[in-house]
Amino acid sequence: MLNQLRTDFYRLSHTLGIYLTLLFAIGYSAVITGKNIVGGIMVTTDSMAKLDSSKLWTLKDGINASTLSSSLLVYAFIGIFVMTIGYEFSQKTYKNTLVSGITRTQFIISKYLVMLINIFVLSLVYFFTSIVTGMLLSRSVGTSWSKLLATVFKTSLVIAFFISVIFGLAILVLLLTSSIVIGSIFIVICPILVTTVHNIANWSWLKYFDFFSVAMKISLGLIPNNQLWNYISVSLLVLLVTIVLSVVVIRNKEM
Amino acid sequence: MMKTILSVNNISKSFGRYKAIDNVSFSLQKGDIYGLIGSNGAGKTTIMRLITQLSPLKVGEIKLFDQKNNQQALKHVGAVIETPAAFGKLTVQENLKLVAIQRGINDSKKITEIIKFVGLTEKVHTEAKNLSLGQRQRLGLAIAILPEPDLLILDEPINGLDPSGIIEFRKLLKKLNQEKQITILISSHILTELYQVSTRFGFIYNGQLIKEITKEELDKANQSGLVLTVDDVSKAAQVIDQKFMEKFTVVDDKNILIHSLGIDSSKLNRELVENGISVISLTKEEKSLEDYYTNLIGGIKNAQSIKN
Repeated sequence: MLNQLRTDFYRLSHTLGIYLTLLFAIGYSAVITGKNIVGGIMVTTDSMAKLDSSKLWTLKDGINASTLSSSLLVYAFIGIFVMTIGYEFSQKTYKNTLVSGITRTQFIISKYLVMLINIFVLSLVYFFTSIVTGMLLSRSVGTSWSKLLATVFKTSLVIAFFISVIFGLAILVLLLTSSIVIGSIFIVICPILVTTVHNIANWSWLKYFDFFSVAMKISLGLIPNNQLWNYISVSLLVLLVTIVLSVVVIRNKEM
Repeated sequence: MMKTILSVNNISKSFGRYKAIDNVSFSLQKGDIYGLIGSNGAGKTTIMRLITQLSPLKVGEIKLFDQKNNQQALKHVGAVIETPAAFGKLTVQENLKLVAIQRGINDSKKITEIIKFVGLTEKVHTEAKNLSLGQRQRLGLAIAILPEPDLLILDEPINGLDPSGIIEFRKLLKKLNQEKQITILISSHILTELYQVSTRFGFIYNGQLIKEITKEELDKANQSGLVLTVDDVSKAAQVIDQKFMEKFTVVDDKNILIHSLGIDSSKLNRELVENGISVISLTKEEKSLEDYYTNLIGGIKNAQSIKN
């Protein structure tokens, strides 16, 4: 499986799309922090209250603004899904991969890990860009450096994990439908649909499946500690079930 | 003792009500070049997909290198199934580097060697999407043989190749078989080409393996031999029996079929004339793999129509 991870990283490093995604992450973060803008979708009033746009932003405020705006990253990162697993199917190179001796389980897990690591690294770059932009504008840290860096690391990890749950589900959709387009549309629709249904139907249990809002809320400290593990447990369970189902589907699929 | 590389036992495969493969069994010994022959939709690709696990096997058993077909065994297999697959935006070299990493090959010289071996040296920095169909076939083959497999599975590899490409491809396969001792399972509907490279043949018809034959047996079956037309068949038969010891069949009151192409026809002619037999004609009759296939399938179709 290690070889498969290395293979995917080699391939991605030779793909223009990954550099465009990197540029987007850097540019988006720099604009948010530099222009004191909060963008994105699914930004709730609760989370917005974390930020006072009238005062002079510190580096910490820049990180908070980037966190609030990070909902848009899931769409920018669709490219990672397409490049990591979509290309294998559109160019039928999965035939070479699966005949290389890798098991179906290793195939699914390695694809998931490649996406997770890529999202994590790109999220780190996104938040570090915010820090660098703030520093270039001579802003104060707003907290201790160690706390700021710990926040960046934790937020990147949380965002990467919750986005990866959506991408994990998209792998299952891709395998079930054999369509990268449907898989990609699922990534676009899933967070919006869950948030919308959650708001309209008032089904409180749906909050556990509102993965991206959860990521933001955890990052901004809006979820009480006693509930934190409920959210993480549900996501882990969804991820585990998704991976198991994906393996079952791919084992029984005509490739 | 011959080493069995692949053993396919009683495999069947259905897609809904359609039975694509029906109780097929065959085996490949080390060094074989096994040609799978059949019309489009006969089941050749499905068999190859089952061997490489691209299609899940539910009925029957496939053993690779004497162990139950598993992912570990597949590490010793190289395959090009249906169309050769490569990442379009990566160059020839990058695509092979990818396979090298995937298969844990650290020797970068090997990539250069393989590129040279398949004749893509001039296209080393060309993106796969810009290769011609023939060049893509070569890249597919390079990807398949880079890990030095013990078994190479090639599905219609000659498709899209121009005449010179076909000749080079044939040489390449023979080279792989003879120099690298790679056992090859190959399918094609270009029977003349398959005849040139294969050492054994399996004929697939409607998902069933209807006949297996070695090249020697095929040659024997195809060699109608020498057709001798004489004025006195009984006297001629006596001469052939006494002087040549070759198997022969009296076809009718004028013709005798000698089941050998090795017989010295001038000596035969002389002997017959010296014994007072008039030789009207002496013709060599040799059939091709295509004729054999046509007769085989024709025979089955006839049998089926009589049944119905």
